[in-house]
Amino acid sequence: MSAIFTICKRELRSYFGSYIAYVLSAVFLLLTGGFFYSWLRYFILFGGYVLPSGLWQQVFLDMRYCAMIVLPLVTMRLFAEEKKLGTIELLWTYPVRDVEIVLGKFLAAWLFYLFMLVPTVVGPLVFYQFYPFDFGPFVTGYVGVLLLGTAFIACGMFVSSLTENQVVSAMGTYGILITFWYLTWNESVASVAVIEALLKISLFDRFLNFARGVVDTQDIVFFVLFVLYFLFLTLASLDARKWRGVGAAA
Amino acid sequence: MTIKGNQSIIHVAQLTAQIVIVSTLFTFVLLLAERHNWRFDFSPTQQFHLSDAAKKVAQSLDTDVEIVAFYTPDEPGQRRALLDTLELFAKATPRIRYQLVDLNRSPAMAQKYGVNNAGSGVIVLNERVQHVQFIDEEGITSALIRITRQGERAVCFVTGHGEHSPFDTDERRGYNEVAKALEREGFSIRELPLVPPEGVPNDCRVVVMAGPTRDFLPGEAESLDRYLRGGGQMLLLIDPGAPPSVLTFLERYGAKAGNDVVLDERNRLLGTDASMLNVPAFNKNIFRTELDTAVFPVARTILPTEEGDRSGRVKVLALSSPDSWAYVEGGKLPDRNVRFRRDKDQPGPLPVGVYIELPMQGQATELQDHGRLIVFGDSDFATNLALNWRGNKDVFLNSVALLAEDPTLIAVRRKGLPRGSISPIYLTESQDRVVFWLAVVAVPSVVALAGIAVAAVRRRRGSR
Repeated sequence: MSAIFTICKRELRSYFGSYIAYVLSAVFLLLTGGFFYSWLRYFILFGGYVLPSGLWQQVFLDMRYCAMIVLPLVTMRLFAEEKKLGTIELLWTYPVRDVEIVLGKFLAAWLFYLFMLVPTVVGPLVFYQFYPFDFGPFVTGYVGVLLLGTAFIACGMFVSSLTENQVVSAMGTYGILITFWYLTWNESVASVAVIEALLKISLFDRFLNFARGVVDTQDIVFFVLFVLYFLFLTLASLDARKWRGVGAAA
Repeated sequence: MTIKGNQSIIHVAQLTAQIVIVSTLFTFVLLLAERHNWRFDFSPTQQFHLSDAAKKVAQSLDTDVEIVAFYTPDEPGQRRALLDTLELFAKATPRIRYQLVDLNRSPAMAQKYGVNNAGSGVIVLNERVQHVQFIDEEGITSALIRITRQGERAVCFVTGHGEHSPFDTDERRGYNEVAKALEREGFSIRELPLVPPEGVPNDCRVVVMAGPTRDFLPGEAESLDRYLRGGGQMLLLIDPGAPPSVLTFLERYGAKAGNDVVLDERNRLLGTDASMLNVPAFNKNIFRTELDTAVFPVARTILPTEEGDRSGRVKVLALSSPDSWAYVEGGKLPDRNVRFRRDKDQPGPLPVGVYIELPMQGQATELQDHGRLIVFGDSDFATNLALNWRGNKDVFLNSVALLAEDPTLIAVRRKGLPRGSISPIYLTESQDRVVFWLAVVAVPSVVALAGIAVAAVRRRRGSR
């Protein structure tokens, strides 16, 4: 367990020791703040036509775009950079297991995401002082954004473990996420049965409930399994070095 | 093959087997989670639960019905939205089955039912087919009522004395939103320019007179009186400044409209003045349900007279808050910064709505079958602009449902907004500026400045 925290601390130091983390966070906060404020103005000025869960649904649907833009850039360096610099070989010489490396890096990226996400509540909380709103969908929206972001991180980490090029890692992650996102984008090309099946694994569809103020246990199970599956694939990818001969000495 | 080559093959086989096993296991868990799920609805409109009114209608079905809903994949999320609504009805009663049909792929089905638009559909009961323009909770509920109940139930709006018209789309004067809401509940809407001297038409289940500004023509009041005393039902909304003949008409039934305007400084809505009256209490013994607070823009008192009090036939239906008072200045509207005048004004709480039962002609005492009258001291609360403010819509629709003696519909309707309505958020200029500067400028700037500080520190260390 302590190995996980040691690796996590090392990663966090690396994140916050560089100004790039602050730039990413600032961009994320600017985008989320801008979306929140523009939707708020829209509702104030135009009243808003029927938007079942109202303001928050729109805000959270936009917030997931921000998470999707930023998180692959956060995860791209997790393994790719270490491979490029050769520090991964050094890491493998330490008495830590692969699973501890994976969990440590995952935890660090997740905490970094939390660091970006927490300040986004400032705007809504200030708004609450002037216009008390129903906290239910607000909280479920954040639960959804947190679960979605966690899924993005797990996916990004897996892709990063496959390559030593950070750009390839980021683009690969975008590719996978967009595929999972818009599986049902063009429903007319698939049969109803196929659409039904695709809906079950669509990140977009699973997230929609949270944005609308609904928590369904099957959606939570889906996100947890999605994360576990990509963590497992990351482990498998690291394990592959043994039969490919990479770092076999470790 | 070398030993190393064999080990690699074994490794690949092991990895493949692991991936297959984990994938299968996860798929199984996901399927299990789908079958045994719990859903918690935190949406403000409780949109993933049926409203009490819709549930009552669905559960009152005594024959099987099928809902056929049409969608197109071109509209993102439409299929999902329809499915959500249909599942709610199917869960409410086993009498309802449904099918979702792709409009593009099944043109024959669409043609059979005469459906052209995605998002619409039909309800089929035996041989009968009822079209639903919008497949949502209100659309389905309304169609279920129409298909299961025989005979037309009309709400007749009298409009020849300057009243609000159910076909007027004007935001401040129009009543077409309330008319649409009534139609969704299975009523048809009729407009009566004047009350016919020969009597109110037979199909008028309820007569609505909303905000008359001109006097009755000769014979109209008598015609309405005959209708009421013959067992008729009427909703009368009287604003401050209403014509004398309407006030005299009301006095026949044991109630009196005060020559005043009810003000409430303490409970007014943000950004409005004291005449935007907050009505916090409705008589739940009469409505048989708890109603949300309503907002009456510029209301007057409606008080039982001594005779009305004595007879027990006049009951207070709506009461203003204890902080309110009646500004008595001959019905004149007050200036903006008005205060309670002990010598002139009436302190609250004050009745702003009454419910009156009338004996049938020839029945002096026994109220076996009776006409009924609901009177509110304001008509603007149900205009297109104000209908969705707080509980205004419930107050109007429940009044009509009560008069129409339709217990199925006397329930709290869905909170929130029907299609095409507005949802106001009020912020002042300065509040808006605070939100903008904090959310869009301050928070990202603090993080960006932290980044600049880190970069500067690193550069300084690097230069040493």
